[in-house]
Amino acid sequence: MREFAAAKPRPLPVIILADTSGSMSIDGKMEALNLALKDMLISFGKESHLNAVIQVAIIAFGGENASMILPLTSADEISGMQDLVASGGTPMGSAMTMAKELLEDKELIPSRAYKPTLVLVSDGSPTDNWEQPFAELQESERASKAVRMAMGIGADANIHMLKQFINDLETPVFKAHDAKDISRFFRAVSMSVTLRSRSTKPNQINKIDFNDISTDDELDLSDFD
Amino acid sequence: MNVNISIATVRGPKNHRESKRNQDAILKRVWRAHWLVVVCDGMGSRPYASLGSYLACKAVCTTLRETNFNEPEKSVVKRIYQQWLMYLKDYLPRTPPKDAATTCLFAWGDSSGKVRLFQLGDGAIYYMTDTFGVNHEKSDNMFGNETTALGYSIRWQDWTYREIQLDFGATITLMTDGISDDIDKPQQFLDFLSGKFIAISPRQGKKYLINELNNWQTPHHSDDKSIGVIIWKKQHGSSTKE
Repeated sequence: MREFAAAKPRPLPVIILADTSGSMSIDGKMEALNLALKDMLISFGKESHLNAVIQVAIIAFGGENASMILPLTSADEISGMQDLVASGGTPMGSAMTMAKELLEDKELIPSRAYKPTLVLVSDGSPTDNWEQPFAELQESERASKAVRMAMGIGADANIHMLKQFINDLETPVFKAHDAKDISRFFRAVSMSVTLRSRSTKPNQINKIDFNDISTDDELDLSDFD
Repeated sequence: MNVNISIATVRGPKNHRESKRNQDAILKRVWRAHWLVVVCDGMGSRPYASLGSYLACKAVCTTLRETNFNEPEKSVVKRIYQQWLMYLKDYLPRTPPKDAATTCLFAWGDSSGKVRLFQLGDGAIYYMTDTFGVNHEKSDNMFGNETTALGYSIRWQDWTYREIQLDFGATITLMTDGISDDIDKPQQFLDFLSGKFIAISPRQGKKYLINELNNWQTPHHSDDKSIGVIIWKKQHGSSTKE
């Protein structure tokens, strides 16, 4: 009888929407984001006490349109990641459309998968029409179930827009001021996803307290919305 | 009655490692003119999940023992739900029902081969009569472990109900999502069970099921697992002494 059981573990998908607009090249933001993403991929790949297999996709949005930099892949099969390069505008709406299509793809994300996590990272405001793609994401019965988290980088990040994006009120928008904060955010994301993948209840979302993430320089609570 | 019923439940590896209780519950009864199999999966995020699933099995059994087999389905569910809430109140007077939330799947049959299938929440009931069927098709828009349950929903529309007629060799299986979410080919799975269980006793069947569930091959599986397999061994229309 056991031979009828699926040969693959249940997936826990994580989709990163990464801002690669021209402004990300300033103040080392792009380098910090590349490093943080690579650390996150290594962290996921090393996990061994899992009740699910973590899968990662990275959608970059810079220039004219979003592009799938890393198709949805099991973290333990990812050997590396090409560096993201900053240029052009902030086509966030295009990235949301791509994320929605991925979330609705029942071949890539089967129904036995645990609820996906969608992480949006941006240092500015969208330069395309994002409202309509976002509304479609929210209206999609399947895609709307993803856990949505967000990080705003620097003073120009559109926090108001990012607040609309998130759907877990216990995990507020994280405001990153420098490279260390970017790394810290992704460590928090890694911790949250890893905890879920180890849990007997992977659909239960863990509250993220960014203050729990160790760092050399302490931030006061006013950094968090 | 010419029905063979094998049931088994095992704790998932995670609960086993952490010395936590099995949050599934399973029950079978064969009375003079009727039989019953119940499978319940207590929602793991709830503090009294194991009690909730146990009491759901008990509530279904107690209620159906006293219920006319032709009672309308909605009325059957209502009586079971009320009984479950009463049991909960006896055990945990100040606990909200959602803290003991549980799925509830059961098959209730009579000696003529008529079977009534009821399902609230995830898991699956597969049956093979003259054709293969699934009592409730899980929506493609749902993800793993998304479910409704006793304690959450009081809506009749959240239940799936079906009546089927069994003939010789017909097979039904009820299982929790710890099994059904890992089954890629339900019809082949049921075909296999049908061939296997037609030739063995319920005692042998139970032993076999426990061994298979304890050696489940899906990597990193963690859920508790429960299954009931029903084989009908009577020709439709034939009579037997009860």
